Amino acid sequence: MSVLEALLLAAWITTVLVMGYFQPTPLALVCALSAVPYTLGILTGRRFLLAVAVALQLPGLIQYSINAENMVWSCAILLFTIYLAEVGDLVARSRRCIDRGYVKRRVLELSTIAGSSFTFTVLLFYAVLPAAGFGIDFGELVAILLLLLLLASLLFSSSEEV
Amino acid sequence: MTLIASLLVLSVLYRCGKLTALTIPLVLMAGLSSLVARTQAKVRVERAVESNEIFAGEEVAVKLKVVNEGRPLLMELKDCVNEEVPVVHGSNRVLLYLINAEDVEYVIRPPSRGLYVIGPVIIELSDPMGLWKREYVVCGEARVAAFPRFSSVSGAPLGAKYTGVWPGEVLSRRSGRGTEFYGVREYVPGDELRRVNWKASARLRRLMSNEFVEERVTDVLIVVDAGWSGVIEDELAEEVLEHEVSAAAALALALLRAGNRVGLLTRGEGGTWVKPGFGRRQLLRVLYHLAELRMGEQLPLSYVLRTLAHYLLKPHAQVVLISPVLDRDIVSAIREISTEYEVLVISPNPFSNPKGGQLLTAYRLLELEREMLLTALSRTCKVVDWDLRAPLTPLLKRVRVRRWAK
Repeated sequence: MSVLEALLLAAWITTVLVMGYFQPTPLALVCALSAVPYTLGILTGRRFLLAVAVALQLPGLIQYSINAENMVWSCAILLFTIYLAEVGDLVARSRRCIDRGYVKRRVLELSTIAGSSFTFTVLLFYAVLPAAGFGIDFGELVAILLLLLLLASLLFSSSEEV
Repeated sequence: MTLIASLLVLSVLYRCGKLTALTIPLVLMAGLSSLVARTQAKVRVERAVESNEIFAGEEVAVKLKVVNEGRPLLMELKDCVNEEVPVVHGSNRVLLYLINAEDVEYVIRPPSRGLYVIGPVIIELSDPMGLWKREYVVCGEARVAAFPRFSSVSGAPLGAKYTGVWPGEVLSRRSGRGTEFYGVREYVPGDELRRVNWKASARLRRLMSNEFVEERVTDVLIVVDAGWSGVIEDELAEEVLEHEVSAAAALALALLRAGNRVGLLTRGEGGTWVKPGFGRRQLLRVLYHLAELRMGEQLPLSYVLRTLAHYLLKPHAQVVLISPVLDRDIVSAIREISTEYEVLVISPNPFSNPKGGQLLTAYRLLELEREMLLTALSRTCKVVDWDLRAPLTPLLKRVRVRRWAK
């Protein structure tokens, strides 16, 4: 196991511990279990194991989100979990192939994307707060936001061909 | 996307806006990932293979020159190689951050004889989150032929009546230059002094010269029989086939070196034929066909020989059949063609090296039947019963060649 893999695993376990701390025992156990598929996913390079690890984190995260007053932390943990899974997948792929600056560049891109997503999410949450004063439900607001985001992504999505 | 959909479904089920809110960072992440990704690539790949013709087990270096004619690009490059071919140095899969040009090099080692395909080169572009992937073929295929390995043989006992015009190693029915004694005749001015038979000259009181048998080249058709699958277990059959192929390759080399015209006829999967010819190109042709030969029965040997021998070979030329002789059909086939051709049967014995030192009863019966077939064959042609633990050359040298009478 390389230093990077060990660091990733340590980060994952830390996330698991943080999540587990706020959960009742069964959910905390499920969260803790996610470290196993994550480790195996990194070592074997199988993406579906990493997906399983993310899926095992979800029940705890959903429970935490439902009870949380501030959604920002839930979003941060979710983004970080997915970020770790993606970086783990990259590291695992670089085991099978020769890496010529790809992993470093991709990790930079992923970090930028995760960071930007978090920033935009926080900004969006704060932007919609005044709308609550007009008596609009939080769920409805989020649904409207999602629709807008989907529209924006459709507009920006490129259809270039090689 | 599955995660976003799951969260949305859950939020609807639990009527919880917070779960819907959880999807916002995911949608943002997916959207940004798609925005960052590059879908256009102007990439050119050139492949250089160190050698297209090798012997099985040898290493071949493959070099790829990847040139990017567009903006810097993140991509995964894969040069497809057969799964059975191990990559011993480097890797045929590379993760590249391609700015201008990169060289990728890897070494493969084809484990056994055969024709191997390298390529095509595929580049895969994807977004950072791996939400979509696009593959493009940017370079075609290359072929590497792994010829069978063989050790040299010599002293192939050729007794063909048909001989060509060039000097060679086959005894012809003419007097001339050679090493085999042919007879004595009266001295003709111009005869070399060392040819003068002094004893005969003294006895007859006139100068007499020795005559020798002219040694010339001939046409040889090497027949490799790989159409006996299913008789013995596959692993053993493959081992015997490898010996057959090696012997055929070694014989082809030895016979071509001696100046003979050599052809090839194979029976099995990918069975084919090569018309007799001279030289290095002919050797390569023979080796290519031997590399491709696999076990498998297509047509009876008697039919193959009856149909093709006349087409490939001149009458009274040499046929060398390499077969373990596990089929009665071979005896009738050889009987049929031995009237017109000189036949040598080289029969690798599949039962010469039993596993654990003991033969199964079924194999003992097969061995007895084989011995009977070889005995029957030896009445019509020369037979070499080849114990696979021993080299072939001494066995070939032991076979006596017919001396043509004056």
